[in-house]
Amino acid sequence: MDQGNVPETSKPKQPNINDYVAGAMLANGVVWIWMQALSVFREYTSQVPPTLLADISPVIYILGGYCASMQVCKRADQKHLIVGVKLAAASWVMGVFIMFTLAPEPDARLMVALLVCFAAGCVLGGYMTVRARLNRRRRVSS
Amino acid sequence: MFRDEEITAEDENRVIEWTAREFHKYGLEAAAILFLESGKPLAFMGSQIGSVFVMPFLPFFGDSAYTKGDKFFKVFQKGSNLERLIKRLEELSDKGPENDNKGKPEGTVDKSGEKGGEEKKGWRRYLPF
Repeated sequence: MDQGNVPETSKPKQPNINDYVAGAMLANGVVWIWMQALSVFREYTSQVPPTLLADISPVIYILGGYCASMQVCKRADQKHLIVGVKLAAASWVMGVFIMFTLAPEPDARLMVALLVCFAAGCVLGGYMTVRARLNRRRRVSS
Repeated sequence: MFRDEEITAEDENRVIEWTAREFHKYGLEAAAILFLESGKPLAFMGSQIGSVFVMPFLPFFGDSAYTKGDKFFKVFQKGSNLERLIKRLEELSDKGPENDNKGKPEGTVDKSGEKGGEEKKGWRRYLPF
């Protein structure tokens, strides 16, 4: 996208539906890779205490939401919190859809965990984007 | 108890400056901008809710707290003032942390090896940025 020709008076940039869907896929991709890794590398993961794996899982979900949110928030000029919350909702809906299509018995606890972790990760991503923007401004002005 | 003082432009500037400086003092510019940008449409409602549920408790902290709180809610019920606060926060953020070079002679190199760099405190020391 050529941004050099955009006039200064143009409206602030906001992500479109494609960006949200791409972000949701990215967030769920990280979760899916983690779940596949747990079963593919069962030989190794079986040696790790299950409680430790259970503790690591939310961190991975938050990481997924964070990575996706950082990418989507880069396309926004303002309202990063709203972008993060929208992305968390989109990611959760997609996650639930994937769960209903793949899992024989959808797990309500996993749904709640995904919602909370995606929300935390996406808001964190929005915050870090604003922070990065302020740091960039500071570097440019100094 | 009920005051109908008019808020002048000078009062608005003072409240905005004070609020921005408080956020800047604690290094919360990014968090403030994040929430203020997103919550701007709810400014009026937030201000009214604050007036109804917070104002009754302010007299316990003294008369000046009540007056300041009254002005604060009146100033920030306008979205335009929130926009001005965000702009001011961005300006303050451009200057860097408040206590960056306080008490240090010119050209002092801090612990991180950066000249006049930000000295991180608490858990932020472990962040690479």
